[in-house]
Amino acid sequence: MIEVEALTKLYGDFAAVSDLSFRVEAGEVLGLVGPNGAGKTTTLRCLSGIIPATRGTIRIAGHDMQKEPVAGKRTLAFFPDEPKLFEHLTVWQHLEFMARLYQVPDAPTRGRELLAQLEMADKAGKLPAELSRGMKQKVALACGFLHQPRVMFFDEPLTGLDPLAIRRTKELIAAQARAGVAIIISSHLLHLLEELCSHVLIVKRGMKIAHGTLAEIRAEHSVVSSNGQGQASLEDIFIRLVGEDAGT
Amino acid sequence: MNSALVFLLTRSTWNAVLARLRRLKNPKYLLGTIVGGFYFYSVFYRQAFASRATRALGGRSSAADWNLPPELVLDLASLLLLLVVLFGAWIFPASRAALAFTEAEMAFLLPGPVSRSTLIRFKLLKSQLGLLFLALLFGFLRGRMLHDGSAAWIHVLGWWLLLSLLQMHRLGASFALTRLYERGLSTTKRRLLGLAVVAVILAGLAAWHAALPPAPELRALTTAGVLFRYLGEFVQSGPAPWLLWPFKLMLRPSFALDALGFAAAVGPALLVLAAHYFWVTRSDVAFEEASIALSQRRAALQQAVREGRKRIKPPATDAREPLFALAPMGWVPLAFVWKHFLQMGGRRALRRTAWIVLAVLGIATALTHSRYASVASPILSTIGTMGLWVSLIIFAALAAQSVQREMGAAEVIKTYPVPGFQFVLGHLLGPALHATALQWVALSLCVSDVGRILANYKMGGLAAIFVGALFLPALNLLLSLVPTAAPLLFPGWFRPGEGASFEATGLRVVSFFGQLLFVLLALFPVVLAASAVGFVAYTFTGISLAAISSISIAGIMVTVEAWVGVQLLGKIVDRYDPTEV
Repeated sequence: MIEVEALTKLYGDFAAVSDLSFRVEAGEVLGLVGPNGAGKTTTLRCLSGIIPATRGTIRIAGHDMQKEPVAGKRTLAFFPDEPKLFEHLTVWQHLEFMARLYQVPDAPTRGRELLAQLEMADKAGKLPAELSRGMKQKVALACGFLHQPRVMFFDEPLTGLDPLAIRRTKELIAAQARAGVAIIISSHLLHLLEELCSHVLIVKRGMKIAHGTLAEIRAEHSVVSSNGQGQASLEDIFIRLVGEDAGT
Repeated sequence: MNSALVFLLTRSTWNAVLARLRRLKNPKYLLGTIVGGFYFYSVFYRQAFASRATRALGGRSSAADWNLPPELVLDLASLLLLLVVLFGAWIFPASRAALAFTEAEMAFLLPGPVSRSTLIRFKLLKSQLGLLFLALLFGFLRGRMLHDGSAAWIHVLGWWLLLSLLQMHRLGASFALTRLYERGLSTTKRRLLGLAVVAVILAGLAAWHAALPPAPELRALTTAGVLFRYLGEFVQSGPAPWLLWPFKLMLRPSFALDALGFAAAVGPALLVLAAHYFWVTRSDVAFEEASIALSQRRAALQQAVREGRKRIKPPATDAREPLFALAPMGWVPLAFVWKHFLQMGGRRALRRTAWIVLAVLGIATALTHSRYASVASPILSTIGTMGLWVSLIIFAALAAQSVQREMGAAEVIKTYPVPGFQFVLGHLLGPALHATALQWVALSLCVSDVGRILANYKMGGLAAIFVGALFLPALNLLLSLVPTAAPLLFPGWFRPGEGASFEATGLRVVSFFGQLLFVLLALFPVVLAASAVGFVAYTFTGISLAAISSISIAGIMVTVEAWVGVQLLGKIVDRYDPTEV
């Protein structure tokens, strides 16, 4: 579903992403982790067609993002960390606008269902200024889900949400994966990724340093639990592989 | 001052300079800097030194034209300064005691172990660079207005001293007023007190008015020289010289004609400045709360500018009815047009505008059919023609701003499954239709006297105007292409909210001439073809058909050019990288 081969993004002489290759199949959830400045957001931006890659190939649902960017974008949804809504459009008008952009014939029915599912049915006529941070996030989710994308990218999806909203967002992401959507989540919340992701990709300075299921990475790199009991967590693996300078 | 704050100031300035210099590695910035540097040199530097050339050529200043002695000019300037200080700092101050901090300064300095007086000194020192820039600007303006033969550096240093004084006086006054306010003196009482002081001064002036020579005739006062000489006599009598004395001390350096004169005048001015410095830094007033509010307002304004808005608006809270229903399937650019009209107020705004337009057209029609028609018709035609030209120019900038604002949220927009040309067309078409509607109203004003048009130009003339009006959306699109393309091609140059710089100014110069060249190149073949077709049609038919056919050809060519331009601009959007700096 998502195929990335030798992805490289250069800014002058600086390589933000360097020779990155991986695949995400339908129904899989890939956790993209790395220290600050590792190239996670740049990778997601390249995958979703926001910025052009310098080298390499990206295929989304079979579409080469360099040759058929519009067809590729029609199959994906990108959720930035901060929901960006139009000031003068109500919740329902956002859905109408997205329906025309993505050419969704059953948009009215599907929009109503989505709003009900997200407990936003009574907010359809509200403007963004009247919504809380969590509600805006829900509007962004509804807009992204409307065209039933086969691929989803989440950049820090739980930033600024309260515990209840975190729980609901996690459930929604898991439900999408069960429905066969290929998902990539970039986050620093390692326990969230451990809970949600089937696979993990660890990057550092733009390069891949580990990729696979948690069990595969544990086995490959012989990482043991920090407290000596049970299996090593993603946090143990991250600290072991990325090193003490993880936060820098 | 606190060494950490000195470090902050010096490093920040040095790093900003280095960052600008490093950007010059990019040929785009280098070109902008060269053009901008040349622009500043030709407009500011050369002009600032023009006074010497003027003196060499025996040039005369405006003051010389009125035969005003330099001492009188100084007296009048002192009076002006007194009024500025009195009204600007004491009667109508901008706010309560407040220093504007950046968000980082608020986060690190306000909770930090830094005293109030240190913070004040820090802000005063930090503002010097901005004041110097203003001094350069004013020095240049003064050099242009008063060709008195003095050196440019004297103007600049003089203005720098003066601006520093005004800044400190305003700050000191705001501290003093805040202290009075905290002791129970309300704004109204303060204004009344200020006005009372003014009244006392005026009464004093009136008291010695009797000693003055008789005022010149009202008719003679229309000559500026006579008025200024009378005012000069006014301020040189009674207690006025004493009142204006400190202000004259501050102004003398900038009135010096040479280095010796400046050296003699600068000492007393520096003493006045030092007195102000001690007054301001010794004021122990709680300015933190007002400073935070002021800084937040500035941050919101900067954010608004970055997002392409001109002012801070409260977020919208009233839902708007769209102009038309948007079906989920169909032509995608229509979605952007739909959104544009919704943002502009939707159906309610359209209804309101329609009523206003109908009223204007109704009045215009009534006037052109009344006995005032001979006066009203040319006035309405002039207003209409001006409106037409202004809307053509303004629309291009507004449409470009619309695209630039949208590209500010490129992270979302670039994920839309929409080819670039559809994105461009949708975003330019909304404002183009808006502008067209306004232009039709303007055209209607031009032709409101239908009878006169028919009499002068026959039916063919009216038909030609009608045909031309149909092609206005295409013309609007064509004119908006370059202003839209510039920020997309050079995003690093068009970051709203960034301070003025050589490269940014240079870019604007390049962009302006680029737009001019593009319009000339685009319209040249149009004019050529339209003239040829018109000539042929005129030879075989008559003026009416010639006008209609040439305008039709021009319209078709403009439409084709606009279409090709939108396609090319679409390719730029497809390649647009929002992370490019």
